[in-house]
Amino acid sequence: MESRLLQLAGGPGGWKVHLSAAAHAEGGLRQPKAVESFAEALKGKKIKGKDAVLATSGHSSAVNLVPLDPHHRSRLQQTLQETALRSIDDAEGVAYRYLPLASGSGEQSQREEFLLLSLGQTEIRRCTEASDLLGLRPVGLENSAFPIARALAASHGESEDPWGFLHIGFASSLFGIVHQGEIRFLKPMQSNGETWLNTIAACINEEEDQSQVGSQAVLTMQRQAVGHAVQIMHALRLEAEALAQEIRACLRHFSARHKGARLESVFLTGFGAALPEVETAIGNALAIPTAVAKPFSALGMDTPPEILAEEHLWCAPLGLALRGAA
Amino acid sequence: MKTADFFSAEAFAGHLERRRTPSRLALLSIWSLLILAATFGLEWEVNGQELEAQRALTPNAEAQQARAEMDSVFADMNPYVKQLDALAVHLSMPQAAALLQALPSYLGPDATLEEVDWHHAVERRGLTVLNRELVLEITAIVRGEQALLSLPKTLQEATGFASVKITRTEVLAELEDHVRVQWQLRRPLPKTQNQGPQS
Repeated sequence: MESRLLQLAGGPGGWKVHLSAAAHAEGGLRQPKAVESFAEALKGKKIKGKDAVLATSGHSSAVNLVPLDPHHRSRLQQTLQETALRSIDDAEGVAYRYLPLASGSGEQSQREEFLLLSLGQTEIRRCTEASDLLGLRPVGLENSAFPIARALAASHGESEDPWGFLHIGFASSLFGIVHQGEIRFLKPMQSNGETWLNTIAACINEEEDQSQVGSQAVLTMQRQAVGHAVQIMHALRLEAEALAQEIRACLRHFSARHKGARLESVFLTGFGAALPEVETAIGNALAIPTAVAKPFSALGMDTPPEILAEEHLWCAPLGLALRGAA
Repeated sequence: MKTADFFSAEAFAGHLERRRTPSRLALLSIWSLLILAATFGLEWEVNGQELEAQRALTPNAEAQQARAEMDSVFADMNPYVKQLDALAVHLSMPQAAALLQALPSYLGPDATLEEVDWHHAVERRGLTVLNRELVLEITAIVRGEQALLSLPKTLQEATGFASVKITRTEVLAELEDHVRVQWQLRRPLPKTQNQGPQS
């Protein structure tokens, strides 16, 4: 699992990347390990200010769409709490936040929907402690879906039509729909980046090198995939179709609640977005314009080449940095 | 974009407030610098004016010397004051030579000068002279109505006399569209020492 740190300089008139660092760490102690890597990477560099906004995702966090009938409105808090506790197993407890989604039209207009975000208290503590170790003062902690959507919304510009984003992380993935500058739908997906990686690795008959992690594994995979496009597309067909079916179900739900609204485009982010032929496979399966997210390029930011090479992995840090300015 | 923050809303609000602080400080500093610059400018202007005022009050050696020299000149001139006053009166009198020479040109192509006469008109009460005027009478043959109407004003402006009036007109039988005209121009003369009640 990769942790990333980003600091922007400038303002809405002209942002530039001031600092960036990425660290790979697994397990329960991944935050302190990441802090060690950050401290090493930031030697001789100066972080401006002390405030830091954080985001997290993975097994310690959960996203749920909770429908609620009007006559059960009085049981809202109880329902949300029960759902949050069921979603995450954490000895220290579970914190949850919720957002009411815009009520729709038609038959389902009477039924309210709430987006429930849950996070283990252990994860909150570890994130806070990691910030303290870096000498930073944490001022916000979000589920990664929000900063990703914020970064893409900033780069996408004003649009009447809704658009979607599919975040394919190594361990988990999410599909979200943004309309009129707000997240209107968010749901975890079944498949994840690891599944896609294994499928592609099996296709090109290469043993996955366990020593290579994160974006390095993607780069290696991209090199090995040269000349195997047809085989990979064929192998990914089932994966893509399964994912597309899941997304189509989400779109039907969204469309029913939003007067038949249709998606304008879908942006791919996260580890799986840049795997060979994934963009084409998902685009073909969905029949919706699909592209790997490049928010730094779209915003015209002064960005170092190492970030430009994997913009889809830096969407969440960018969205965090733009919070309060976007 | 709405978000679900697991920290308190106050934490991020505090961050936004801290982000604004440097720009506020910068604005305050710029404003203070402007005020300071304006104050220094004002002080500089006041100092300059004060210096100028002090200079004006300080006795000027050159001016004092010039004043003393002028006093000396006036003292030297005092014995000749009677002659000098008469000379001054004489110099203030109208100069006739240039006027007589220029009169034909003042009349223009539509008038022919025939006669010029000068005299003084003196108004008295008993032995006291109340008023003295220089009277210039010009007689000329004028062709056309336009010249007849415009010449009085032209003559008054050219000669610098105070008033002008037509004292005589005579139609010429032998010359069609011609008249003989006499203008009388008057100009007050400066008072002399033996003129008027003040004398």
